[in-house]
Formats: sequence, structure tokens, C-alpha cells
Amino acid sequence: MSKTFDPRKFLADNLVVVIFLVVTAFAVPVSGLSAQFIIQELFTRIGRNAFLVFSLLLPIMAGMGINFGMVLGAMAGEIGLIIAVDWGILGVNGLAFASLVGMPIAVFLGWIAGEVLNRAKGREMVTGYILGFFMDGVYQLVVLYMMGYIIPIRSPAITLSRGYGIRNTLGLDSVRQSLDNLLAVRIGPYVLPLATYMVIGLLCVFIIWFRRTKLGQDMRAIGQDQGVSHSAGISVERTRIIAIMISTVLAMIGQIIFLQNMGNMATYNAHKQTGFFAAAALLVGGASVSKATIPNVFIGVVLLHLMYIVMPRAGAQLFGEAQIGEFFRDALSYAAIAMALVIYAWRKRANAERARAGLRGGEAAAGGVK
Amino acid sequence: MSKLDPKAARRWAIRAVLAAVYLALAVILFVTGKGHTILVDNKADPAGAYPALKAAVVSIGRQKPMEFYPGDRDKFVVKGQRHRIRVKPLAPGAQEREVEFRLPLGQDMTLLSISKLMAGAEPWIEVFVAPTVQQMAAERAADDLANPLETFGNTGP
Repeated sequence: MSKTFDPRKFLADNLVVVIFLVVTAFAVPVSGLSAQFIIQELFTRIGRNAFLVFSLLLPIMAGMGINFGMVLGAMAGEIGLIIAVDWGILGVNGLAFASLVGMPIAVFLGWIAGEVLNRAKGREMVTGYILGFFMDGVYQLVVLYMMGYIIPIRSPAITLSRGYGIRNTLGLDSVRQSLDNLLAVRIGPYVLPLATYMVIGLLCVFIIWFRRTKLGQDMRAIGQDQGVSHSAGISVERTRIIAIMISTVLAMIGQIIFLQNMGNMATYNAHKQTGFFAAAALLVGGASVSKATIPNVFIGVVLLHLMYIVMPRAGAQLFGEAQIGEFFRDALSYAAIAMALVIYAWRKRANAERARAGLRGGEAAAGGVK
Repeated sequence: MSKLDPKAARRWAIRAVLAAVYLALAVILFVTGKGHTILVDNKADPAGAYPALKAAVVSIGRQKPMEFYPGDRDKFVVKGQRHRIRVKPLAPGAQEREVEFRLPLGQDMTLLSISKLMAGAEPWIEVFVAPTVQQMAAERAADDLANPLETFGNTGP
């Protein structure tokens, strides 16, 4: 059966990607930034952000949409980093230690999130988003009041002057870029954080392997049809909880990688936008709420961050105000998420209409939008 | 007494081993990754028991060597407990000395006197508590004494 290229279908499938490409293609020359600077920034940002974006893949595979509750994992990572910094553990050891501290917290929070999301089937994304806000309050209670009071914190350098609670900004000098610099390779004018890329590569291998396991197959089956999966003997609720738990743990590690690259941590704000940026990157990469792949992650991170790099300068060049570029890039990122959600709803409706038409003996249902 | 199902017992044993490995890994990471600040000091004894080195190059482990002159104090930030210090006096004919030492795990800062080390005086390595930390601890202790009933979420009567 020969397939003909339908530009309308192609545009509908890749609308977000196409819009981002057009905007960025316009902004790159306007910004006046050199290709070398942009490419180096992209290499850095791929290492910094890709792991976080990967944490969204499994819940999408399990049909739970974008896990905006990944901020719970980000919070667990931050708590791990606070403890590692307080205990004065340096370098990669500090990062690994932060991961070990954050792991049980992330597993516990992931389990709570999974249980909650199982009670909100069909509304997972908005529930996860609100759950993130709720847990942010709990995080503040723990970090602002309990740390240094109930949870022992030794270092006066990281506590507030009143003696308890963690400072608003935490310097991560002890672990700053320790993973990036572990195996930094210079290729021509570019420095590549090879160790970070290797960690991301390992995660890719894990995801590819995981999709082939029984649990991975179960998740894919649940993502396609929960009812059929349940009838086939798959424990739907348990599998969904596991998907969210793995996602939360990956988000925890991703946040640690992200923060070690930044070198400091906004204690009470660093996690707030994590879910949003990761979701925007994934959707810009051509993923949808129901389907996401490894290439979508890389395409998304490159496209979104290319826009983030060039837009402030383009704004400054065009309007004499870098802030306009900042506003524009934020607006576009939110628009990407909104557009992806609208396209997803539109496709769902279009497929349902085609299926109904097929039942009425009209157009074949098989030609539905996927 | 009911007998534990062998399958369940095996499962619990595996879980216990995994938990132990997890904890052991955390301990290893802590011990090998704990950072210590070594303040290297080149001061003479006020009582005149030993002099300061006129000029010396000091290195700890593979870190970049530093030059020290009388009255100098500088710091090395190191990872782990076991280290090797090499002091090379720049005076002609003076002998170089290399010593291995171990830092206390719980201490963040230690003061290492190279003038004492070269003179063979003990102790040439001591725990160092920054005056600001001492002051903060004293202020907190005074505050706790002044507000003994203060609890979390409640400042007390």
C-alpha cells in the first residue's frame, strides 16, 4: 500500500515543532550570536536538562499523560543535595550521596503520587500539577522549619540566621559541575561533558531495555487500553504506580544533575518550574500527551533551549530590551504545552468521529488520526 | 508459631541484603567523599620553641603546591581521610619531608603547622574551629538558656 504525503496531516502532527523551528530560524540571525557560542550552550544544556525530560517518558507510556508531579522527585533531589552539602561531601561522591538520600524520599513521594493519580484517572495531568503545589507546601515546612530544628543541620553556613531553616540560595560549590567536569572532553572549540552524556546514554539504554520487559509491555498495554489490559490480567493500578515511582526517582536524579551544573540552588523555587520546562521540551520535540520517544527528548531539548539562548538577545536587538525576548520565550513555552494539549484533544475527537463514521458504514475507521 | 514461607523468607533476605548494601554504599560515599579543610600554617612558636620556615613549598596529595613564607597561613580542601603532605624547604641543603596523616572523620577543619612538623614538635596537626562558629554556638546556647520552653511551631509562654 503506497502512502501519499499529506501536508495537512504532517502539519497537524508536527505543528508545535514547525512553529518552534520557524520562530527560532527567525531569531537566530537576529540575535547576532555566533554559531560557536550557540552550539557550546546547546551541548551544556543537553547535559543539564535531558535527564529531567526523560523522566516524563514512562508515565506517558503508561497512558498517564505528562507527569507534572515530577516536581516531587525534584524536591527529593534538593533535599538530598542539602544533606550532602551540609555533611560536606565533595564532588561526584556528593552527587551520589544526594541521590542515595533522595531515593527513598522520591520512592515514597512517587508512591503517594501514584495512589492519588489512580484515584483521579483521566485527570492525571491536572491532578499531578496540583499535587506538586501541595507537596511544595510540605517541602517548605520541612526545609524552612524542620531543618535545623528537628532534622539536624550542622553547617551554620547553610542555615538562616535564626538558627533553623535553609537559606534562600544554597551554594553548591562542593559539588558544582563535578559530574560535568569528571570527563570533560575538548573537541575543537567545544567542551563536552562526557560523563553527563554517559549517564544520559545509560538512561536511554535502560528505557529501551525497560520497554521490552514484561513490566514495560504492561505499561504500553495500559497506555493503549486500560480496560483491555485489566481483562488480560495486568494489574493496572500497580503498574501505573510503578510508572510514577520510576518517573519520580528519575526526576530526583535529573534535578541533581541539573543543579550540579547550575552550581547553586534556589532552595524554595528551584523545583517549581521543573515540570513545566521538561514538559515543554518534550512537546516541542514532537511528543504528544499519549506518545513520546527518546528522539523527541533530544529534539525538544535542542529546539527549546535554542530558543531560550537566542530569544533574549533577539529581543534586545529588535526592541532594545532583552526582557521582551524573555517574555516571548516564556509565552512560547506555555503556548507549546497548551497547543499540544489542544491538538491531543482534537485528535481524540477526530478519531472518535471517524470511528463512529466507520460504524455507520461511512469512511473506514482505520484512517483515523493517530 | 507459623512457619515462614520459604519464598517469602528468601524475598525478605534479599531485601535485607539490598538495604544493607544501600547503607554500606552511603557510608562509603560519606567516608571517601567527606571534604576537609586543612589550614597549613607557617608560624613560629611565640615561646621560641621552634622557628617558622623561611620559605617552603607545600603540597598535599596531587593538589597544586603552594609556597609558604614566615607567618603565612593558607588552605587545602581535600576529600577523604588519608593524605600525604610534602614540605620542601627552599633553603639550600634543607631536607624535604613527606608524611602521611589521617584526618578525623567528623572534623571539617584542621590546622597543620609545617613549622612544628619540620621541628618534630607535637602535635603538628590539630582540630580547628573557626571563631565565627564558636561565637554562633555560644549565642545559640545562650538563646536556648533564655528560651528553654521554645518548641517547634510554638514560641512558648
